[in-house]
Amino acid sequence: MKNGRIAIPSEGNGGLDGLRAGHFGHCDVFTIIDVKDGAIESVSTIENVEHVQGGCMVPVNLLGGHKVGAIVVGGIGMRPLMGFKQVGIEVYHDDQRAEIRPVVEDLIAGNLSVIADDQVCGGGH
Amino acid sequence: MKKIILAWPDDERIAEFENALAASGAEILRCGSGVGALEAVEEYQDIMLAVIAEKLADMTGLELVGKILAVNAMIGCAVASRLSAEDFHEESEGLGILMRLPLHPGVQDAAELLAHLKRIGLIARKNQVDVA
Repeated sequence: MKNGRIAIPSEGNGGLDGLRAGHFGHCDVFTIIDVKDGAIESVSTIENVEHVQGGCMVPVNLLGGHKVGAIVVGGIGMRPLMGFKQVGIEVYHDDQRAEIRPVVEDLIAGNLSVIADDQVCGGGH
Repeated sequence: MKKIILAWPDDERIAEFENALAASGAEILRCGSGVGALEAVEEYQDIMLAVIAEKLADMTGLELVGKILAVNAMIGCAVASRLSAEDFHEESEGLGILMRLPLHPGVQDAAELLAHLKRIGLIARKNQVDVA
């Protein structure tokens, strides 16, 4: 990624040296990384919004409203995946590392894969 | 006026349920098949909810939810099922189903569904359906 805004579902206060959240919809905050010319330009956070059953589009709309272009998840359901795609947010996959920084660096370097439709969670799989 | 898809085979037993949904002010689009429901999803941009039978002539309710999501993931979905709550959760996980409905939902089910829509902001409070 040369330019754009990345969101990482995060535990606690988030930040580049923080830890990723396992369930993006129920993370504490989203760490937001702005990338310019292939380098990290700035880091900020967005508070997640509480939602009830069936309200999993709440974080999708939240990040869409903040002009996020990419998110990295460890897993995701079909509805939010489709939602992210439909609001123009690319969804990348990494279910191995808990730390935020190496995942961000790998995304910028082009080393992460976009999640495939058949990698979604649930549905009896 | 926002729209609600009612994807359900002809069944007089859900007439009161349908009337209760219509009383919210939403326009009800009756679709007897999954393909018909998908055509409505393609045609209209202001559908807020799809209420779906357990099984339609051409696909199951959960199959239809998956196809709706691929077109417009913002449409909330409620699906009838004879499965237990636990089994339904397992089968539908990731699809973001708003509510599991009984096979023949009634007025109370419509009220609970509309209340849930208000909680997640798909319709405004004070029984107002047209959201500015």
